[in-house]
Amino acid sequence: MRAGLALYRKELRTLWPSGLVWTLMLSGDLLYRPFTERLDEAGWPQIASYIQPGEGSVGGWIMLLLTGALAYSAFPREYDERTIHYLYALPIRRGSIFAAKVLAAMTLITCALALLVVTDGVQGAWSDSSFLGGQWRLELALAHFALQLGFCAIVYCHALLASVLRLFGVLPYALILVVAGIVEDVYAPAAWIDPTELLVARYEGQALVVAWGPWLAHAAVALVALAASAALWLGPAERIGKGFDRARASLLGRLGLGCLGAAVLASLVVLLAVVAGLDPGDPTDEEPDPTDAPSIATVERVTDRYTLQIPESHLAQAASLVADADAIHRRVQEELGADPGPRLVADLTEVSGEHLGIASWTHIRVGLVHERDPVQLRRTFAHETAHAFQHRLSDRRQSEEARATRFFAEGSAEHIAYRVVPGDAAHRQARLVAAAMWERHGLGTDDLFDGERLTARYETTLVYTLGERWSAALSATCGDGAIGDALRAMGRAETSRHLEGRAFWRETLGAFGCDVEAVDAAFAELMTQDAEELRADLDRLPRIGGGVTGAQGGAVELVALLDRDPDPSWRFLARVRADPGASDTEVVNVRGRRDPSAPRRVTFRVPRALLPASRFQLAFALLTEPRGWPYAEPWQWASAP
Amino acid sequence: MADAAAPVLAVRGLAKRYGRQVAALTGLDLTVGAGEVYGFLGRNGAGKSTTIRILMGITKADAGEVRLFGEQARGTPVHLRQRIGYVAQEHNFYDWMTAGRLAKFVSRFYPTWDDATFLHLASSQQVPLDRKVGTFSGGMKAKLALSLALGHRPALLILDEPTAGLDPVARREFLERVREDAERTGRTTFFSTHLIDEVELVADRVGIVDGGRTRYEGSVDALAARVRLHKGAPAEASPPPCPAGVRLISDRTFRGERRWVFEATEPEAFAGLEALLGARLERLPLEEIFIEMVRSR
Amino acid sequence: MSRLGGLLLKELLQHGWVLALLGLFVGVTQGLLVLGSAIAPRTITMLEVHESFVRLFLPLLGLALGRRLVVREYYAHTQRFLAALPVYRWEVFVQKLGLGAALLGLAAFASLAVAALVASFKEPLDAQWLIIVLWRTEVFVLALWAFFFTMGLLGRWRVPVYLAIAMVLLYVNRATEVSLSRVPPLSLVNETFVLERARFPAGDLAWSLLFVVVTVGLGAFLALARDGGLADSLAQTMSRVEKVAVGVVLSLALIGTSVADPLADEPPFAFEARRVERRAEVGLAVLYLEDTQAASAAALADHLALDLTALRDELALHELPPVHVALRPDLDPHDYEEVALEEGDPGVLVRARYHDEAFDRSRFSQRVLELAIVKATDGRAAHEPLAWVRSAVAGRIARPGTERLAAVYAAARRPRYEDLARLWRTEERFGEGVAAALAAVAADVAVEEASEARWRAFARSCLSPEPWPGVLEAVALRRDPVEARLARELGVDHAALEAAWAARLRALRPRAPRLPAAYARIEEEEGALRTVAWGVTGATPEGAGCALVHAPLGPFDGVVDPSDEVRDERPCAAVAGEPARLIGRYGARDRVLLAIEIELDDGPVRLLAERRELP
Repeated sequence: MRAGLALYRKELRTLWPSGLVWTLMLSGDLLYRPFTERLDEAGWPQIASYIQPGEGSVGGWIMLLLTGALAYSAFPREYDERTIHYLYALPIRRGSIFAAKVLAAMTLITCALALLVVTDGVQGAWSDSSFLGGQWRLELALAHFALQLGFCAIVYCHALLASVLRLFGVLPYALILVVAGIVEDVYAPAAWIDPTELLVARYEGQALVVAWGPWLAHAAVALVALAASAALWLGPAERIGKGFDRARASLLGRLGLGCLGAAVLASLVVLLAVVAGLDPGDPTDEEPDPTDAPSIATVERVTDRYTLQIPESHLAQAASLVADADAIHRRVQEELGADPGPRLVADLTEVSGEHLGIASWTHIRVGLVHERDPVQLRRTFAHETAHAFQHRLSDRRQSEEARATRFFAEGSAEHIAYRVVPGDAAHRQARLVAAAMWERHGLGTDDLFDGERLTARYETTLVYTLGERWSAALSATCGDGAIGDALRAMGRAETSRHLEGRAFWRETLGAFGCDVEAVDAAFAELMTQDAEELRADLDRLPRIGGGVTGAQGGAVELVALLDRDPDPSWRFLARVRADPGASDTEVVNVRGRRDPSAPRRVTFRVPRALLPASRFQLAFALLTEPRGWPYAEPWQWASAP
Repeated sequence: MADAAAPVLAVRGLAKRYGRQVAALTGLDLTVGAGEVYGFLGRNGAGKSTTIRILMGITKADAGEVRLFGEQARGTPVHLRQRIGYVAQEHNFYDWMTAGRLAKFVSRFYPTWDDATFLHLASSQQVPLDRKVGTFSGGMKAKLALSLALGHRPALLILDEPTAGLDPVARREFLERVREDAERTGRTTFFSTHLIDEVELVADRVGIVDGGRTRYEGSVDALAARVRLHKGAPAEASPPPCPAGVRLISDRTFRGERRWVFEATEPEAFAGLEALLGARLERLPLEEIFIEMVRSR
Repeated sequence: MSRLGGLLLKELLQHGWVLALLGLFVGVTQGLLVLGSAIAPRTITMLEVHESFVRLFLPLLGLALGRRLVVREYYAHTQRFLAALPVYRWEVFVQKLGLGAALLGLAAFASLAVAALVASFKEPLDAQWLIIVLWRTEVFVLALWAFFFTMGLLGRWRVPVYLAIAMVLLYVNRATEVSLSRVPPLSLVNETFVLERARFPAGDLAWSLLFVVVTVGLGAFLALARDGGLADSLAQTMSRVEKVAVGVVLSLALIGTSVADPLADEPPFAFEARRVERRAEVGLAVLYLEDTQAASAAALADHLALDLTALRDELALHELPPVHVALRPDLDPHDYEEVALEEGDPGVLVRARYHDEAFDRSRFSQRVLELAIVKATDGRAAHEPLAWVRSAVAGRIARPGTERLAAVYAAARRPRYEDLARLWRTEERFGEGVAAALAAVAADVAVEEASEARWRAFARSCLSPEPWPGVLEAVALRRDPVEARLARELGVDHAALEAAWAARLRALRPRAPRLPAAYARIEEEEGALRTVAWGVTGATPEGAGCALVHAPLGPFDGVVDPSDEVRDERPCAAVAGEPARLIGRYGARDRVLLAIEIELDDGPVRLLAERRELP
């Protein structure tokens, strides 16, 4: 035992540089925060940001890198400095050497994390004002400490195993993390494969919700990794090393190794395909009419301004669009007061159900296959063409400042699309949804000017409807060419890159003598007029309230209650996502069923496989027309029983 | 073009300094004639390795001139290096290569490579060609290094303390092989070492380097004749005045016995001294001579 | 040539199996990316496969190759064996440089070929596009390899230099005007990498090639200087002292970059429009939309100018923060909307419907003065315990005449100084109007108890424009609390002030408007759903509007941001009998703020406000 202790102390002494780096990285804010911030104006939750709901994964990545470096200095360094032979020559069991190293590393991690709890607690205790003071809770601080310690232990075991392959071991581990990221996009419920997800803080009331399933799974994997690394490092590490060399020596050996590597990676790919296949897709997708499937073969049509790629099977359907393409391009160009610019590539083979079309630099994709209505098809085409102009006129600054400009990008494109391809009915439905959301949720331009705040609280398609109205207000206030002027203002070389929200828009509009406050006032005026004009329809739109009512047969039951009778033709949706940070494509839509006997009650069944976590976000939406914009209530938190 | 009778290697006023403090060479002169086995003797840190690194073009000299095969060799261009066989002190071979593979690799750099010579040398020294170099012992690596160096039938063989770390038997075999090769092929050999017995066994001429300068250069016998010892003088006696051409280089008392060591460029000069002392001067073994010459500076 | 051939053969033999495995790894990764792009809905073109490969996996390959071709040679000291062979050191250098570039180029072009093949089914790929992408890919590969090759020669310092470079890029991107996606050679693979079909990026390519030349030059210096001795000495393992020094320096640098604030030298907020009523002497600007509103704008400007000048004298401010008032016809006359400007902006922006007859200029002026004081004290006066002093000072100057609101508080509760010190709670419980009114009354009482001059001295000691730096501010307030300054400057300790203040409020109580009682019941609905049934009981003023104000609270309490509050407005009469119902908005165990407001002529008053965790 005494020998083991001596080894343990020796390991601790060798690890003190890492300890210093850990302390600086985790508790370093104690050095500068007291002098740069007034600590009595922040409570403990603001200081220890990782305990805020939805936070924690950034800290996870920092700890992952630090723990990885720690594990890599356990055995590889001893081998590289040839001190391992001296260690093995000592009269002590090899298991004790391994245990001493692991214990020393865990001691260092525990002390660094404990110090983090203390430094955050000290900094968080300054304020005693009404709502900020007295928030520190011991059991919560210890709960997070335990989560972080468990996470570091798990990652330490992984890294210890990866270190057997030295630096080459980083590649498979990085690949697994990349795959976990891809899986999270494709199949949200499997997001827990990424270990940093374990640290994301989720609460029910004031109690922390710990996802025990993923923790047990990761703990099991970690124990296997620890056992494997012990076996590899202690036992046959050298024999394996020599065997490895012998294998590499012979050609047969190399082929074997290559196939083994390929088998591992191929299995990952297969796993991904299977997992992707599992996703039953959104129950609300209209089952695509089999006769409608686009042919693989495509035909190329070249006009003055476009190179169009059309599925052979839908050539007839695209004929009118191809004929009008250049005219649409010229109208969009006139609306923006721009020069024609380079020829655009238009790909009409888009089949995604997520959106009608997308655009990037000189590429646009438009969903010809599913689009029955030729007018809507041409409007979407004009919308995507407008996007291409936006990227060029603003010299890509619009997409770089996406947080402040997304509502304008979609809104102005929609505004121009309606002017190029008018459609009163569709426009009216869009204005109705915009007026309803504006009036009922008290939305303002400060929500539009901050894209992250908008997506955190409200339905993201707002950027199309409300954005279009704001663009109309801008044109009304600062002249018909105002949209083009705003894009060119963004593209100026001297604009500052650090302006956000209102400051960005004041500076951009100010560049051509337009006042953001005047535009906001005009926008509010316009929304008030819309609300009055569509009052009748507005009053028919019900307010929707509801939530999780229970679980039954592998699915979670949701109920939405309306405050007035809905129109039978209307369709109700329940949108589900993991947290405010989730992107549009990660939102799962579930269609509701109405009971004829209770018209004000809509039930939804969300397959548990689709739930990203036991604690998720939910929003009810209403589609007055199948192809129209949804009216939706703000996002709310919910818990699966 | 190199003329035939010129020395294979001639070095004049070679100087090299590492940073400000370490003056490795401060004006070294040496000459190695064709077919000669030249023992390059010196203590550790006397500048032997630096000299060889300059000869091999690994490091550039600060001053001085090097003539190889009669040709001016500033930085030892590749065509001259192809005529030199080099056995380093530490063998940084590619561990993952087998001895045979390493030979094939080295052969590409020497137009005069001869597989037969290499195979003969390797097999005669029991060097396993199919085993990885990483698994070789120190002695085995030295034998491989010699085989590789002689494999391309070099005109000049340079050995930098090649027997460091070998057991006595392996050392003796190595030295005999070098001597036998020199006698058989008349190859010029430049043999750097700090072990006197190696020089006595192998070298025709010897050059002693100390403090970065040539201390002595000449045949082994001439060296032996150059230094004489007088012992037995009373403790309090002061050393006698030396006749012309003779120099007292050491005055020590060892195990109660007073020992004076004298050096003379011409052995005849000692006769006058023997008359003065009234006693016969004794010859010293080469090792003693080397120690006294080096310590006297 | 056979020398070079010998070296190349050696490299291939040594790294052959690893390169084969990396090739396999690249192939499978490419398959993953093709699959990922195919199923990802946001794919604009299958060429993104090449973009992802060049941005993500090519650097990984470059890192691995740099380690194998350069670092391993120096750490195994085999470069000394090569140095003794009849081959020039620069030949070894050129051979490794060329081999690495060739291998990376091979991987990049394989990726481009796969991507182009897959994409050609769905989109036209012409020669001009191919030339542009080939050039950008090739020069980026050269830049990448030159970088990793030279870094390999840095030996034990390469990892710290990698981290240092990452931190510099992090800082440049965060705190300077430089956008990394526009700096060559990174600009070669920005978002237009695989999409650009017309513009040949000659400038970027030239700068990137210059980067390659400079980096290779540095590499050559490292490898060949001092007869290769420099690279040789760099390739020793790092000593313990060096490790500690690197760890500390990098950690402090990381903290430094995260603390560094971006350049905030943007000009302060100002109206751009023509229709603005300005009062330059107090830095006031009032925006109006039509010429018909010019008169009410001028009247408001005059009223505010007087009060702002009084404020400047009261607190002896060097200069007033610029105040901007914007007309918003869509707001209620009692509803003022404060806009949070850019962090470094010294000004205040408030929106109001000030051209309405029902608009109370004095109440609006108190709100504007409060915001001006907060800005003048660099945000300090927004926080307790200075908040009530701020409202008191503003109330005393603006004289809003809100005694009826103060009476509402007096009718509901026994006055306590605690409700002033904890103004946030009072604002949440009774509404901002009542809280401001209480503070105004406290100011009047204080002046009566002491004197105008002593009240001014107390106000100045609390709201001095020079804020203390960082934590010293909190220490100053802890050592010398408001109560102590009250006793010292005013000469009236807070107990005496409280007594006088309570007496004044009791005197005002008869003027309190008769307000209904409010209730908010949580009812279970359909299992885990919860409904908030809320309403008022008793007589309600004629035509008054009621509203349920609710906001979700996270697991921690904080001041609820007004923009988080959702208002469910109904006529009070409608909720007097039958309760209104907020159905399902919150579930079991959710924490929520529930408040019921009634709209009086003097402004909104909260009848009820609770922070509850639903059962």
